[in-house]
Amino acid sequence: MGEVMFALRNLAVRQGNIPAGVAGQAKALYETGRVINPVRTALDKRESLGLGKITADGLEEVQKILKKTGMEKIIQSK
Amino acid sequence: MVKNMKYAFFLGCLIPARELSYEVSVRKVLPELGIELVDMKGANCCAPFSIQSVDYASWLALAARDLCLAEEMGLNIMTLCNDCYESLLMVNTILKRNPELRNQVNQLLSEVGKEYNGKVDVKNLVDVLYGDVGVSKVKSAIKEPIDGLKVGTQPGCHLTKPKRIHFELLRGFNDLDALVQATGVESVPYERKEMCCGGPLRDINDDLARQVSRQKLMALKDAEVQAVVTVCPFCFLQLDLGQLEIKRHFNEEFNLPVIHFIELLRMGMGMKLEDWEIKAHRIPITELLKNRL
Repeated sequence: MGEVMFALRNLAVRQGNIPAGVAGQAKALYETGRVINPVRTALDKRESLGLGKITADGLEEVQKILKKTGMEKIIQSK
Repeated sequence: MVKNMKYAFFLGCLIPARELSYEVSVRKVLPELGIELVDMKGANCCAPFSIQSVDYASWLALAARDLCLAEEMGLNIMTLCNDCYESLLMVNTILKRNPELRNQVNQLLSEVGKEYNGKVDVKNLVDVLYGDVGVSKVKSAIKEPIDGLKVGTQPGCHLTKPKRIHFELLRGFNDLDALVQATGVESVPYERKEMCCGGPLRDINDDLARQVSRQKLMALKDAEVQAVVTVCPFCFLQLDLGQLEIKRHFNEEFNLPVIHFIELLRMGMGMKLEDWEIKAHRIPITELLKNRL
């Protein structure tokens, strides 16, 4: 079933129809390097548990790659 | 050849943001079983399949960038997230098999000074526990067997699909069942075990996502299981939080606790869950596991 859904998504985007949720994920990926970002309480909880910080160390490289592939333009057109 | 029993730990986006209990349990349990985890600094999102739908080259290049980081560490990747596993495994397999595509991706990666060489493998938690640690060692680590509990397992679609990749790797349902049984818990068969949890439909068609989850939960209830055990953070959310949504939309209650396998293993090894971890389950687990908590 998962494969069928992926195929349907591919078809939808090719026809210029990107579901809002998928467009939102793509935008978050470009802006933060992640598709899901933690809320403040999760960050605080991580700190209190001594878990590693969530950093944006790779963001600059992610944005360079997405500019090169042209995905940045797809994201900004939505 | 990279080292065994030591992994580049790829956390992904969802777990460190929403399922801290999963992460904490893994960080407590795996070292006890001889697995060393090294955090991947500078890793980006795996680029899930939704990104593949938006732009195939971006999907390949972003996952390949993460694979490059693991190559630089000289370690195979272990990830807890089924979505991350699927993306990283797929891209790794595609690029290893297709030199032309690999060259194209390396041209993109040269923008950031990286080169993919196909030197690492991608594993998930079940691979590591079943393949590296082994069921017998897991079983011998169980100090307090969890007897008398009947569960249905939900490995999640991406642990076993697409078949063009997994056909060769023979991973999936049976391995998780064997690990669950090693804790003393009975994993019972149920109809629609291979069925998706509905999670991939969220934010696209929420109503359909809930309908799919409902079908899955009905099948689990029919099998008279007491809980669902999963390794997938998306299945966990969809089936746990999803039961509250189903209650709101269909006025139907399943009250079926959902437990991460690693939590089960942790309890079997005699390590109790903390109060905040117990409360992270929207469907309460306190009654089910009252002697363990």
